[in-house]
Amino acid sequence: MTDFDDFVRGRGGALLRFGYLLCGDRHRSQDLVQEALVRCHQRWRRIEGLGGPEAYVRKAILRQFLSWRRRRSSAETPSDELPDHGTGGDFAARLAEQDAMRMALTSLPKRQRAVLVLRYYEDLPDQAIAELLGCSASTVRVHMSRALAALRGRPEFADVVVRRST
Amino acid sequence: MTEIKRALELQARLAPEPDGLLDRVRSASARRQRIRRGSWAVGVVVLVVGAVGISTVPWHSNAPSPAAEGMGTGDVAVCMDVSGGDLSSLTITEWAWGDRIDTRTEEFTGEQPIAVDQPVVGADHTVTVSVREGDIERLLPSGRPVDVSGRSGIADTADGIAVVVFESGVDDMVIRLSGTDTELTEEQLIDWASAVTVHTDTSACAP
Repeated sequence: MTDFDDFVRGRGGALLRFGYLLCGDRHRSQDLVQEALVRCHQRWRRIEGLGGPEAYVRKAILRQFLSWRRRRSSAETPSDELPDHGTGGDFAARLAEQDAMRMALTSLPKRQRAVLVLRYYEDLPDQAIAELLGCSASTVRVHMSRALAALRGRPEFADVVVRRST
Repeated sequence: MTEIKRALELQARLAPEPDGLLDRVRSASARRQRIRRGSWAVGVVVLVVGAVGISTVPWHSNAPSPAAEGMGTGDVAVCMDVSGGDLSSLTITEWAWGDRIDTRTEEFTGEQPIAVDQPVVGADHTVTVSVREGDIERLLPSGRPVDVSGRSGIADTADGIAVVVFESGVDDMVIRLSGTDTELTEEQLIDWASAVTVHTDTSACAP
């Protein structure tokens, strides 16, 4: 199982970032990724045989996220690791933007959130997202449209969506 | 780079670091394996004791069937929503050890032909589970008639690849299973087909 160890060491950070964007909570993202990796660990030989273990693990994380019924314990996610973005007003503005993004994302239904992350963070096309979510490409487009509409409705985020769409 | 992508990438920087992740995963995995072995041992005892008084126990109609581990694949449940008369949605779910491994859902408007293919990856073989409109004779004109847990079917091998087509129990809908390697025999595939359950009670199939 050395390959599994190498995989987790090499890709653990990326998987946690993916999980965090999905759920918007540091602790939950750790649980999410850990649970998916535990399940994959027990059938790693089969997964390796598929050729692309990272895609499989990400799919497992996504499935885990979509099926997770436990509600987040708090809408707030205190962080003890602040990113190094600079100082002064620019830093404050970036933090405010990040917080707005987090709040906007976590306000979306799970599938809309997943579509948004898969499209804009993972750069996946509609069909690939559809296969991951187990729905049709047209359903993906409906989720995307509703997610963007919901984001436009949030004053703190409207500017980002408007800039993107122009 | 779109503004949304940039915002997401900034957001991703707040994700936790992977320190200790591997250790946590390995210890949780080992713990779970110990529990599973213990459960398996308890299950064997319960089965032996239960067999004294119960010769056959029908599986719950909504639960996935218990076989298929011998093939190295999980169980497969095919859920068809025909509440409106026609098939409006179809969900194929793969289970293993009580966990849902994969789910695929397709929705239909009645304008397009129904054809869904879902690969199920096992330790030894990959089997493609397909749902098709029509009858079994049209989908597999050659081959020999077989019985798949009381459902009529036809099995054939073409170019070394085994294929089994059998009735789903829903009018005009059939299940087709096909191997992806020549090592998988017709008999193995027929045996594995018995573990494919078909449900029309969508509430039992909802993810």
